[in-house]
Amino acid sequence: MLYRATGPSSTRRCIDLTAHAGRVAAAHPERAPRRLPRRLRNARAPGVPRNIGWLYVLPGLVFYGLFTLAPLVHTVYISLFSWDGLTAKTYAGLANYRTAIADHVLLWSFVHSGILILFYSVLPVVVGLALTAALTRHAVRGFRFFRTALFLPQLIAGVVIAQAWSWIYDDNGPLNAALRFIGLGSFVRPWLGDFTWALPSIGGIGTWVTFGLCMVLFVAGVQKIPSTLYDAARVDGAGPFREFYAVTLPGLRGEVLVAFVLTTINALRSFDIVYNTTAGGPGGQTLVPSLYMYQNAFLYNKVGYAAAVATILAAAIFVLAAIMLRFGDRGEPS
Amino acid sequence: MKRRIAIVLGLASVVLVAVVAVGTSYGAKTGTTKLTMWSYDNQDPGLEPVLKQLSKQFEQSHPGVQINLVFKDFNSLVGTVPRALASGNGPDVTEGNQGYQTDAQLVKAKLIIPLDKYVKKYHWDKLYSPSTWGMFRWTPDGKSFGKGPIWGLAQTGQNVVVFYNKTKLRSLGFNPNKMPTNFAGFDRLLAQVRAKLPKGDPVIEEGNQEGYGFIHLFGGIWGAYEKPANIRNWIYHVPGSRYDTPGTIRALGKLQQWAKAGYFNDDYNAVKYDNTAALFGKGKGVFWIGGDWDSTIIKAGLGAKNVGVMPIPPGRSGVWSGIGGLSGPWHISSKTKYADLGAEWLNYVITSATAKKLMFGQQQLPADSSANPPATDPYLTAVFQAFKRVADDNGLLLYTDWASPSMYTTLQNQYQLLLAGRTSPAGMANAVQSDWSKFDKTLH
Amino acid sequence: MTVGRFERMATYGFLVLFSVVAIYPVLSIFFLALHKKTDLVTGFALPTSLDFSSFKAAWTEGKFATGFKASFIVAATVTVVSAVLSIGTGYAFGTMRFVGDRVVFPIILLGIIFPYEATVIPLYYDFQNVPVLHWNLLNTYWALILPQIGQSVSFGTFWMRAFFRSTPRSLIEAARIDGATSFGVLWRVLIPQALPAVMTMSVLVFTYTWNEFLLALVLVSGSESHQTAPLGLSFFAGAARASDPTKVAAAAVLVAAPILVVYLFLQRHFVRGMLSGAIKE
Repeated sequence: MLYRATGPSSTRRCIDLTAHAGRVAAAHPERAPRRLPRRLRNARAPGVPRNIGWLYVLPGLVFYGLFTLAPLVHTVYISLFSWDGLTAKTYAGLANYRTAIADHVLLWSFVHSGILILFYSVLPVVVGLALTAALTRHAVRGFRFFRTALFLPQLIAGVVIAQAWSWIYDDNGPLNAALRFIGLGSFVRPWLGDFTWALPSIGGIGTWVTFGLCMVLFVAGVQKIPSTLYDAARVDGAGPFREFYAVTLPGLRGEVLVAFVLTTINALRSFDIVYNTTAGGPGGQTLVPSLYMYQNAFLYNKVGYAAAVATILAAAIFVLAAIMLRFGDRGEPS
Repeated sequence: MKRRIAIVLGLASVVLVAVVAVGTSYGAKTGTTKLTMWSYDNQDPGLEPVLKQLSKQFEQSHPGVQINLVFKDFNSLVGTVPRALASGNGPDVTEGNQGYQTDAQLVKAKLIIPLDKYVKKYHWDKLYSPSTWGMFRWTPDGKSFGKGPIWGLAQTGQNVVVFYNKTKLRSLGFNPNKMPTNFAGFDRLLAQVRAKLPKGDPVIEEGNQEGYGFIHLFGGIWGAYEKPANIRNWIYHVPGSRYDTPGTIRALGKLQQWAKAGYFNDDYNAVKYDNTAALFGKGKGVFWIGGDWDSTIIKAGLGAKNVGVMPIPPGRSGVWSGIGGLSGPWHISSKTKYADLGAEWLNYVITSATAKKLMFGQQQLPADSSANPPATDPYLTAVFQAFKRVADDNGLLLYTDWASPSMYTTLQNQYQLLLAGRTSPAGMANAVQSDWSKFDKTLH
Repeated sequence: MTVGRFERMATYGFLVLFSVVAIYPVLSIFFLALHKKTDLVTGFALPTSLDFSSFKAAWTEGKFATGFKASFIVAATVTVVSAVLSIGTGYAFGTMRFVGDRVVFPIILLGIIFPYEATVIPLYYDFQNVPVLHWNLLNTYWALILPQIGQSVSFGTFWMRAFFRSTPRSLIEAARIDGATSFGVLWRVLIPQALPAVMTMSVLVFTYTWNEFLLALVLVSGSESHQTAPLGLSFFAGAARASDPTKVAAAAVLVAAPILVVYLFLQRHFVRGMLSGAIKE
């Protein structure tokens, strides 16, 4: 057996109920229609056309629209004003966007996010793939333990992560102690206070947070790969790495795309960890767009400009997601 | 099975509704008047226990009144207080920050009330000199600093001074009782200490993670090269004043040279200000240059006998100077129902004899210029003398971040760049001056 | 199939290494919290004596009793309400066709990659002065509950729709044949089976809501009595770090503890749901 099968326990029950339906039909022949009504006859998956669906959708849609979509529109509206948030607004048209384009600080904040994408997205995907391969190639004892441990970082609050990693990166903390212990004492530095290393250090935190998520997504995806493909590869004499490249990786295409999209968006959105560790420092080296937006809105009292920054960030995220999904789709075998 | 689910769901929703209903009720105990005060004087030992004790005593003498003290760190408080006040269910009394970033906003948005009537009622005009009152004055549009009604008042005098570890100095062969009396001498002493200290040990232990560490430290160097009056005028936006003067640029160069020579601990950007005071108290570094509000933390570590206190000695002008002024300004919210009670509390914690005694007990200097520290505490007297010398020489440089709403961030970034050698003194001066000019234009 | 001994050892080694990496940071602050306040802690120093006093101090001084209450009220409400709403929307998108469903579903799905940070500014001002009603909802639980319900509906809809789609059509038809209404089908047939999926969705939503920070920072930081635990931790860490890093470490452990405890007991539900192929499109 190639991997642990963990299908939903619900399928078994489904079968029982279907059998039940059959027995009902059999026991009450008069109730089973000889011919399905036109509605049902013309039905195609996923379901019969029933506008009552709106009734079920409306409550959720209202909350979503009111508290998620509407505020975004409102943000765009505010970005057209010059406003300190406490007194009256003054209309400014696209002035905030003109300022934004010329703003080096904003540009650098996006560069920093771009660098973080490497750590929040690319590295975790790679690590996740490796972990998946390790977990699924053959039956692994302690599978549940590994899965539990590796997913743990996803569940810890950003503020807590910030405290834990501030300690790890501390001058007297475990990382420097470890470096000194293995004789790399010259590498010791004040990680989160260092101009060059603060951003990669934050990146490292991001990798730690995310690789578990990727692993879980990929392990789920591996189950859908037919074992016949693996058997064929083995027969051809493929070793573990070839097997991975030839069978696993292509089979995980969809999951890898989803992982990339989710993690990249998270990289662009990151706020909690940066705010609670470096607050954008030193010298703005770890400033990211969401933090810059917060500073403008609530510290410098430039709410209109902050809204423009927010709009630009949202646009960047949507565009990036669209590009990735489109790119992923094109590569999809038809 | 379905029935069970229904029952569970039903119970859960009842519980939930009850919890939420209870949670959202603002249920104040009937008959109690509750006042909320926000403060960033969260040093313990330091001002925090003073405020706590005074508030307890105030509650005892005012039955039915409950004082709720909330302590936050400086950045968190300053970042959340304008909105908290605007929300209508924020603090009744709170510290703000002098200058254009915080106080100007609070005044302009009418979030705090003028205190002139209380100044009259409680005779607060006796607390400090008229020129000191300037830092609490704003015109109601929040544009002119230094004139107009009074909006706040401060509890303690504050000053950035040099703390030195006497024991360590002696062990290195220096005489801590004969500290240099001019800046050139102090500069030389630092170089000599650096030469004798083992490589990993810093000369000056410094904590700049919040961003204000070097703003404070720089004051003493600055005053050695530039006239304090010019510096204050620049903060008050007196027309024609500039930051990028030759004196200031030389002073920045001197700071950068200190960094290049390796005087500071290399994790200065990662460690917090009060943390380094505690570390200095535990024996790290030979000097700690920072606020006298941390004097208690240091005393708790090294012991009063082993610590010396002095302002950074003066430059050629002979004027003793340093960053400092008074502590954070206390304001009364414009949305509070208990303004008079709040003012009474302020009067108690700032002017009462008990307050002064407690403050001295924690090595804090009451802002009240008539207060004298007890003669029995030489450490406290040294701290007081350091403050008095600078105040008397009119050398208090205030706090540079007051000069514009974004000045704090500009300075944070520029100091970090300067110390890492990534910008030049002239470059930094230029950046700071342009921030000032951009803002200055909006004021006229 | 035989796997080489070397490969087996390498595999386990690799897995153990990363598992240690995953767990270590939380362990390290736990150990830090157990130190005495006066220890000068360095590197891997294990506490010589287990000093739990910092936990107690952190709980009282950080006012986490209030923080936990606030976090729980918000997270529980959001979880329950968004679960109910998501079952509804998932049911509709998963089993029915209706006018506009092809347009509305992607719009809701957008919420999964949505930058919520970009909406805090208007949320602040709209809660400060609610349009039309002129209420002030800042520093109340509603300020945190309402937006997060909106945010969770996207994920919940995606989740429940995937589940309902995987339910055999014949089941629903059988129930309809029996004369059930759409609600009857949902209540009697689908929900009983959906409980594991609902459970998974609920624990995930609860976790994300419990951990939410920026929204709390912007909307409820003015009132101590409504601060959530993560927000309280952020303020506490800023204020207490100087004098006592062990206290801050203890506070951090306290804030993470509820989710960790729930996770360890219910980890089946956290991960199992994902493993059962909810990624199916």
